[in-house]
Amino acid sequence: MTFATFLVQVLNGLTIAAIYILLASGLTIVFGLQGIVNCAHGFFYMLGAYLTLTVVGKLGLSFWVALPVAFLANFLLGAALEIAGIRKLTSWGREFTHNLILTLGFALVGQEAVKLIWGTIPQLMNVPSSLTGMATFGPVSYPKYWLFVIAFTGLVMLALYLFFTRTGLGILVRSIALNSEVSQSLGTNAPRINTLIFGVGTGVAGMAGVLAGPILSVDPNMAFELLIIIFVVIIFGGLGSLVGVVVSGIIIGLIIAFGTALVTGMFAKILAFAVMIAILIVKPLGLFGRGAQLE
Amino acid sequence: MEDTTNNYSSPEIDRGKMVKWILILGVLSLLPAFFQATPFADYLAYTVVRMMILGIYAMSYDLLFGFTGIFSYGHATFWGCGAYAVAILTVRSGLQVQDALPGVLAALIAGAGLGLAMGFLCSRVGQVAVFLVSFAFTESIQLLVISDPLKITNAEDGISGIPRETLFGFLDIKSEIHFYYLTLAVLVLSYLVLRRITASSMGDVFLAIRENPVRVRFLGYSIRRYRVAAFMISGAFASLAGALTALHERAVAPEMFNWFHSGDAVLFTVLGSPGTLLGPVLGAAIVVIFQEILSDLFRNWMIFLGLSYILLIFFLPKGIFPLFEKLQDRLRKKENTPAKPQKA
Amino acid sequence: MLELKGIHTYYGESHILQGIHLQVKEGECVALLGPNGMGKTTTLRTVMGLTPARLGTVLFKERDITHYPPFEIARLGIGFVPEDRGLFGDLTVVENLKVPFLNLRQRQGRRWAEVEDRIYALFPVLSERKKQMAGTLSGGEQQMLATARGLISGEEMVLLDEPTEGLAPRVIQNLIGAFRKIMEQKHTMLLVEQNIHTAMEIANRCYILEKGRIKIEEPMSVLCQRPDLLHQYLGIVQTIDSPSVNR
Repeated sequence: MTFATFLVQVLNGLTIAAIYILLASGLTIVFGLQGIVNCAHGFFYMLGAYLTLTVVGKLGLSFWVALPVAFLANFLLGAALEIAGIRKLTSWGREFTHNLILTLGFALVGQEAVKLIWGTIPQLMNVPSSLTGMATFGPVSYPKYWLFVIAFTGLVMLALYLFFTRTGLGILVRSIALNSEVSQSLGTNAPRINTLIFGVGTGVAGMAGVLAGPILSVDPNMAFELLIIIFVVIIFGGLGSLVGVVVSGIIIGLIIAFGTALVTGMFAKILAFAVMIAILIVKPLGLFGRGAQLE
Repeated sequence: MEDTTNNYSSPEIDRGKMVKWILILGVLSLLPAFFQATPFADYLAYTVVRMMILGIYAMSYDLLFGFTGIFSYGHATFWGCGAYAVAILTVRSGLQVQDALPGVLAALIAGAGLGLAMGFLCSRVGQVAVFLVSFAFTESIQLLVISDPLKITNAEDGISGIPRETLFGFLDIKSEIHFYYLTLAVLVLSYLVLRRITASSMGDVFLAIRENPVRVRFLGYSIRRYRVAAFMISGAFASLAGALTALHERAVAPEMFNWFHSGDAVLFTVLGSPGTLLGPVLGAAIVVIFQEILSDLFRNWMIFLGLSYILLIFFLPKGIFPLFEKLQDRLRKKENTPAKPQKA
Repeated sequence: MLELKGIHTYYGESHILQGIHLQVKEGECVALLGPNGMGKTTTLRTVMGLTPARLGTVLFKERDITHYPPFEIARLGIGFVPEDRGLFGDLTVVENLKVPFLNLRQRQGRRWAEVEDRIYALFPVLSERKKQMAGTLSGGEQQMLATARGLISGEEMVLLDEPTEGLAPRVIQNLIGAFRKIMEQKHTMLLVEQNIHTAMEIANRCYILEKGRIKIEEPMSVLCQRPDLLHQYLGIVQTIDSPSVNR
């Protein structure tokens, strides 16, 4: 493998990692905060992609309009799910398995609804015109759009980091993740913040769908296909850890990229699973896991 | 915390229940005769066999989830494992095995083995992680089967032409009717064995782990070992169900490792009331009936699957057994009230 | 200011509080005494809405707050210092203090600097540890931080659960000094204590809770003169000289 090819594979790994990280971050943050796994996360990802098809394809608007639209639509829908479903179950003191089943049911209904509205044939999404073509630096040529995806994810992660460490709301969120009861006894409106963060998580998932559209095709299996790898990413990185998601996302993205290039895509996936299993044997909580905490 | 668990493990069998059982068994045994009277004999027999196989599958999951409190989403592993064990042994191994027994035994062993592996992994991680890890585990197995590194699974095409001739060398199970009785026998036997296990002291530990793991640990039991044991037993029975399906359909495919089958196990058990063993069997039957009706009417019947999850969680969090209890209470009340005016 | 009427609280099916009546007037420091496991912590949790009462009423300034969610109760100006301190271990001292501050209802009139100054005046040690992770503080410092947090959100009243538990005597004296200063600033306190000496140093009145019921209600000075009560309910054998607590 030449250096140029190696570099391309690294970039491939980072691009894949970017999508994984965007998706996994929302999932892991919600877990750290509320102790639940949102099985519908993949559905929000799917919805973002399909909405873009309509916004760009049917309505003729720019890709750049699709991003915030996807975020907003998913934010609202996610918040609705949280208020109508998850909050109720939590207030009734149900175990987390019930929330899991609820979100699963929601995802199934949502997936079928998307199929009904948009059809079942996989569709293509075009790269926005401002980002077509390759960027060349030295011996390496790489699609501009993919570089953009990496950069965008980096920005989002930076924004999240700043939010959690520098803003007041970020401190409150972290306090809820550490000890929700005590935080509430100090005046924190945890239910409202939980809903907000849940919505942000699903909104980001929607954006991930928009970004992934031109790279992977837009098809009705999107919702659950990727979810499994995302689960691997968050277990590997440690449930509730944002740092863990970034690190494990990058590692797994690289594994997938190099594995696919050197052997086959399937081998790559199996390798990723094997790595996760190996880590779990040694460190059952994942790389950065420390119980339900938000880092 | 709202109590959504059931405690129905009553070890004693009393007279009244015996009579009920004999009746139910009698009906089930005579069903094929009824079916012959209709024009859909084969279809009906086929469907009921499917229900019974899924009933065994559901019971096996109940042991894991309902009794031991392990929310695994990887039961499809065993379903596919048992099926492929039979398929590989009879078709791909070159051993010319025609009897069903070796395949079934292989399935049981393989199921217990995978249960050991999955149990080992899952017993080390927290509750939420078990869901995710078991899910990922199933996916890995499915990928392995599709990629077929040892060239025994026939990759995506699956294996067909599984023989179904005899059991134990002399019992003929070729026809649908004979297979029906075989499945019924296996269902009853499985239930009795599982009931015995849940009523035993091991079963008590399982229940205790579900309710209060910390306490169990303080009492000196190794939670890890018991969880692994639960996985192994559960895996063996689920594999048994998978093996029966392989014999029934006479073909297997990698789709059997699809996470939908894991979801089905959960649905049967949650609907049928976890921790009752029989409830999930009923749950399986109900779901099969609905699936048959709905899939003919709607292409997007999965919407109903999703809706049923949501409705279950909100309205029937303990499954259907509490409804039976309410019904029993109401019947008992009706028996009591007429007596009163006579005393005056 | 605070009144509990006929409070019955359960943990699951355990009937912990069996008809509690209690009052805290403005500017008072009331101690809730009694042996362990009798429901003292549960009483505070009931007021705070963390373990809501099944029967009875909690009145705060004439308002029925019995079924308010905890964050609403906190925002009414009731601060809470839990028994295990409940610090956010992975947040810094300043961040811990910010949590109640950010939730204050009328923040416009207040600046963080003023709040900080007030807190550091009471607990100078904390100002030296601003950026330190709360989980790495010493026991006494942790208690000070927890109390400071409770003070920030408890502009009207503070509930403290065993604040001197597990601390060295010198640290306890420090803490008591801080509590005295707080009371001088016309604060109101409801204090749960197992340590009678601490309670005597700052409380005006006390209640003794046994098996979920209030058995005794007396001014502190009176209780100190009653060795029979001290022995019967608190297991204290020696007589105690009442310190000069003037109010």
